[in-house]
This record gives sequence, C-alpha cells and structure tokens, in this order.
Amino acid sequence: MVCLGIFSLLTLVALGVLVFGAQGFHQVVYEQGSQNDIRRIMAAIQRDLTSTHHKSVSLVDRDSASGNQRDGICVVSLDNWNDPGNFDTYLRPKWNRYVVYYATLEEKGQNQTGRLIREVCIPGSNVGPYEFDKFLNSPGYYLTEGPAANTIDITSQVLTDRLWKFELTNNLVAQSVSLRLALRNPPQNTATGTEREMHSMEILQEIKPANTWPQI
Amino acid sequence: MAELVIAIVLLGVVVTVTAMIFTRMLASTTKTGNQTVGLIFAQRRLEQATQVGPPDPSDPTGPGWGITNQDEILAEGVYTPDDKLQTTFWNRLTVTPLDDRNAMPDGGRKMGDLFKLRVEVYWWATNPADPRPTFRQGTGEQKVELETIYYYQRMKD
Repeated sequence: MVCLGIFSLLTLVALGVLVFGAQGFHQVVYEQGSQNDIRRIMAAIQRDLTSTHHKSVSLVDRDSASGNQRDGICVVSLDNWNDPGNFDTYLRPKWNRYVVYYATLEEKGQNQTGRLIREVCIPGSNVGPYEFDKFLNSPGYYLTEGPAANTIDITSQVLTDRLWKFELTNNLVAQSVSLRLALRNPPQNTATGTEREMHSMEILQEIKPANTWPQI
Repeated sequence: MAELVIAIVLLGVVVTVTAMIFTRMLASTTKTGNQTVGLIFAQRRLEQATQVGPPDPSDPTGPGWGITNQDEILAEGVYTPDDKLQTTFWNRLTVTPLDDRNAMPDGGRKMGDLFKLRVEVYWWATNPADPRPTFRQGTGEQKVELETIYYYQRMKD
C-alpha cells in the first residue's frame, strides 16, 4: 500500500514535469519565432529607410479599436540599385517606386494582434523624392485590411501576423524616423490552468535616411 | 524492496534532470530575446550619438553625442518578455578620441576627427549605476556591447 502511494505520487510528479515541459517548449518556440520575426522585419525596414530620401517619408497615424498604435509609412525607393540607368548625371537616384509598411487594424485572438505588411507601389512616372500624396490622402487604396485589394500595388508581403504595436515618429530636425515595434504571442496556460500569460517582444529603433541629398 | 528504492531514485533523477533542462532552455531563450532587444537599443544609441556628433572644438567639455557627461546612464522600458510589466534597459555611451595620426583618413586631422564609440546595454541590474554585468546562474552576464569607429568630418585650421 505504501509502495503504491509512493509510486502514485511520483507518477503525478512526472506528469507535472511533462506538462511544465510542454508549456516551456511552446513558450520557447513562440519566443524564438518572435526573435526571428523582429530580426527579419528590422532588416527589411532598415534597408528601405536607410536608402531613401528623408523628404519622401510620409506617415499615417492610426490606432486599433483597443488603442494600439498601427501606423503606416511610405518612402521612395528604386527597383534596382545596381542599374546605372537608375541614376542621373550627378549620381542621384531616379526614384521609381514607393515602399509602404503598414499595420492592419484587426485584433485577432486574445493577444489582439494584426499583421505587418510591406508593399511596393508604382503610381506612375512622377515618383518622389517628395511625399506620396495618394498615400496620405487615400488610405483606402494603400492601407486595406486585405493587402491584395491595395491599388497600384505590385508586391505585398506579410512580415508577421502577431503584430501588437507599430508606432512611427518623423523627426524633422534630426531627419530620422523613430520606430516602436512590438509583437505579442498567443496566451499559454500556466501550470495551475487558471491564469494565462502572454509573452511579448518590443524594440525601439531610430533610422536616418542616408540618401537625403539634395535637401529640399 | 531494494529494487523498488532504486527504481524510485532513478525516476526522481530523471524527473529532476528533465525539469532542469526545460528551465535552462526557457532561461536561455529569454536571455537571447533580451540580447536581441539590447542589441537594437545599442544600434539606436549609436545612431542617435552620431546624429548629434562631438562637442564644438571651442568648447570640448560642452554637450555632444547626445549626452551631458561620459558617465550618464539612460534608461528605457519595453514590454519584453512580459506584456504587462516593462523590462528596463540601461545604456551608457563612452566616447574615446583616437589620436593616432596614422589612423586618420586625411593623414593629419585637417578634415575631421576620429572617435571610438562604445555602448553598453544591460538589464536586470541590481545597481543600475554600476554597468558591470549582472550574472545569472546558468545564463551568464545580462549585457551586450557594441562598438564603432566614427569619423566626424569638419574643416580645421
């Protein structure tokens, strides 16, 4: 009887460790996914914002229904930085497209997350380095919840689907863009099964467009 | 009876080792996440410093690099890894002028100055004023460092 009791107790402990291990493993997978998403998103944003002209930076300030920032940004870019035909006699880029990053306003699941979209727009022959007025004035064309519905959009890419916050600030004096990006993972049951935890990852970054010449 | 004791001890060892492995795995992932955030903080700090540049040559002790003095420690909180409680990341920028004339791109410091910028970012510090890294059992020091050599161009006599 005593042996049976001890064995039952140890079995319960072993099961508890297994449950704890499964939760831990889920958490590790989600956190590593967040880290990879952050690195991938920052690599794309840094590449596009560093190579652009600061005068072309246009921001749209938006919030989701529960008040999380879901901004959008549009900057000029080139289709091919290695093509000599894309530069004038003064070696200034002949801008030929706009790149847009924006967060959808949806709030899926308990972690209330949306998607971060990167899209490339070719509105016609007149591209930058000034702001893209249609981006600012017609958000229904470029900032839709379904990226495929965006107008004059040649490629769109979902960078993450667990976006919590995407907040942008244009620093006119320093000619840079400040960025706050936060991802949030779905809740995990705790060992007691009654509480739920959500793990997030938030970063702050500042990027200075390096092609801001001539100054306008 | 002896067999039963051995079996129970073995089971206990297996359970303990399994629990330790998962705990270490969680701690390691949390540290990697904090390092990722800390590294981006450090890049941001360097970017902000180079935007401001060095103090004016007429007032070498004046404000420059976005800091008031070399020992200034800035703090910012972000929701990592908890979505309800912020983790504070402290950072300290150290600037060292490089006086090696041979290292100058212009060979004689007529066109500008060369500096070494070093940023230390640390978290979970018991004493934020002390940038020495905090050690945690199993995950080591809670700190990242980033360094760059920066040439600031300005005409000199």
